[in-house]
Amino acid sequence: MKKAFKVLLLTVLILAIGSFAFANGSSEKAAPAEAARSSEPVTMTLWNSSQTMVDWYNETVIPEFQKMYPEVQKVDILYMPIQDFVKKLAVALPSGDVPDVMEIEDSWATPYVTAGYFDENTADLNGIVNSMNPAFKGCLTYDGKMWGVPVAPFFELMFYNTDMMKEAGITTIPTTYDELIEDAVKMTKRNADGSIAVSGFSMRLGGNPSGTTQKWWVLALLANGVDLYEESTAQPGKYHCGFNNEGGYNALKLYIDMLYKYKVDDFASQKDTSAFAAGKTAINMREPSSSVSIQKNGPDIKWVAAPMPAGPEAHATFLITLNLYIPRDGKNKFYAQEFVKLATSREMQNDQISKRGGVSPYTDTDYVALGLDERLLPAYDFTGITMKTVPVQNAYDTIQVKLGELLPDIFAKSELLDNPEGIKAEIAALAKVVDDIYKDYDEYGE
Amino acid sequence: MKPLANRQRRSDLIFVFSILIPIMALFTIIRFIPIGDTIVTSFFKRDMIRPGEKFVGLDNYKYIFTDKSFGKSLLNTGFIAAFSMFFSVFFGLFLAVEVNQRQIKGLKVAQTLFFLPVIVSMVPATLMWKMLFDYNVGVINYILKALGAHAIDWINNEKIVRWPIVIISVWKEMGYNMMLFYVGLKAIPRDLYESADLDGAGRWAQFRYITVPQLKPITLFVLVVSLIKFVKVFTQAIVMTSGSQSSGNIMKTVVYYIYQQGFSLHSMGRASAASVVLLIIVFLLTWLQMHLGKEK
Repeated sequence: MKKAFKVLLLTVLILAIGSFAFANGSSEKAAPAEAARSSEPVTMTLWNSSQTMVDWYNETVIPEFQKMYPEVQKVDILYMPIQDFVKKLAVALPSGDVPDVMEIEDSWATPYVTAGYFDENTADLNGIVNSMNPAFKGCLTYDGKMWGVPVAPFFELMFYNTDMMKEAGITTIPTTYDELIEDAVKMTKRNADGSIAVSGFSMRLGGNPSGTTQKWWVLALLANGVDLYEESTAQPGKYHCGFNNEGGYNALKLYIDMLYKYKVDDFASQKDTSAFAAGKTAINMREPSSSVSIQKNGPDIKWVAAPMPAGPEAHATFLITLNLYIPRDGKNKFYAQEFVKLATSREMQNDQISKRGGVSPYTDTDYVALGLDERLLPAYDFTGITMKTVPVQNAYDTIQVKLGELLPDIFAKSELLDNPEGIKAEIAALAKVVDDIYKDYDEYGE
Repeated sequence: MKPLANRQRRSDLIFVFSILIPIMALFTIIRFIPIGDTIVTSFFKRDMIRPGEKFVGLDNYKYIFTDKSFGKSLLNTGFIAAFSMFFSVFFGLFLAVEVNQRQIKGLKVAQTLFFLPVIVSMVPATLMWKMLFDYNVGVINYILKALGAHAIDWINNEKIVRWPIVIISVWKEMGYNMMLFYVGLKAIPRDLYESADLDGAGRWAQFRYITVPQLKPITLFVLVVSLIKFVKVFTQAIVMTSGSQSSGNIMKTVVYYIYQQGFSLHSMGRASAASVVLLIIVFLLTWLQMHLGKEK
């Protein structure tokens, strides 16, 4: 009898401990319970820096969210232009004066993620990220944990003016940088005084510094088999400049040759999407969403998009993303998590693509079925293309900014044409800048 | 008699200090303490998102003085400040003299119109000018093309973009300068001009030998205030050049550099060092102007 009582007691004890542990474990991993819903009206806040995303949130996500949670009477979106947004982040996050959800580009978020200003993803949110393109994990993972969920990814592609191609007798889209240069030369038109009237390829030669680095310098490096950084083999988790080598030399030579040997663009000509929409450039590199601007400002321009051309060493594009983060000091955590889940769900992402022409974070997306502009479709063939994402490094954004400030002055040096020593010296100087920044952030490793 | 005078003097001083104390206290809190803190911070490695700081001596100053970007921002700021100050003072004085001398109908309306840009916020004003300077649809390029010239990329071209900033700055400030000069002109005794008339002095001679010397205190004030304003140029530069291909680097001014170091690159130490340099520059230029004004 005593023995039977002991067995019974032990069984009850084991069951109790087991159920307690199970209950604890599940409460850690599961999403916040329905009990977290408020009986009072709720007003949520979201900060972002992308105007087209504001329209999408207001027209699609918020109405759907309010159907799911009628107690959420309002979702206030505070839109700020990028420069203001960056300033706002620096002031608001440390002071705790934050919204419920923040939409931030991956590289800007890193210093705040590593400083602990955002909540680590819940199991639910990690589940969403895990169902997406695995490339994203690289720009969300720090110290083995993930922060943020991609809500608006974009990648770099090429826009070609098909009328200009036809006029120049070009029948196929260039697939390599050599072909791109050849075609750009054919499509460059000059004024009587020799200045460029229509550039063959609109090169990013200045402007917003991080954009100058991001928009083509990194892609030129990737095409030549290198990157801005290289992880230290001796000290994993530490970095140094990745382009003080032949790849970096070839990337800078590519710029210099295009400017001063092939002369497909110059500093004075009109640039970027506005130039493409005005028929002032034949080829432009941009994100899919710029097709909306081309359509609006140059409805008569005939164009087609294509993937980035392959370089001598690699075929790659840059995959950047706006992520949704939940600030540590945010108030409506339950609703914030539910909002992030909804906005990043496959259905909502499909809706966004049909409206904004972006790229889905989910790999098996049928862009034809979503009604994506058929002129963009050729660029969505990612076969054989490496999708490079932003690394989680505190120094990375600063490196982009500093290089973006220095590169235009180097591009302006026509004396670098056929000057290997000059190019090597410029690359070495840039590499020192990169290494100094890593040292400044305590992220440098030989 | 002496003790009475002393007592009166002491009483006056107490009165003066008692009414000055509240404003001096406020000024200390919102001006002197932040300036002091900025000077101290310039010797530390400090950012806003991570607690803690490290004394780095003059490292922040060494960094900014070897940073090409800071040199470029100094040059841009110098260019904009010099030309904006010159033209806004020149046109301000010109308009004030014209408004003062000509007895025409609608003078008050004209004065109001000249002053209107002063009260318009800088952001919408710059956005309006940005549209006028737009490469494709701007009125300015439309006129140039109508005259047979090439359209100019005013905003994205590094060599040209400073001029639209100068034009906006002058447009915005000349009305304010005009009002100051106008008040100064009204204070010049009429009999000086009447005597000059009797002596046969022409308009130019009257302007040169009566108006200019009489306006000297006002001119000095306008120059100092304009210089301080234009050295701090930020909004018009950032709004005018905001966009994919031009913002930041092309038109980086010293204040933009400070802003970028502090809020974008998270280095409050370097931002503070650049602020101290700007403070010294403004102080030296102001002292120089006042010194030259006194000498003459």
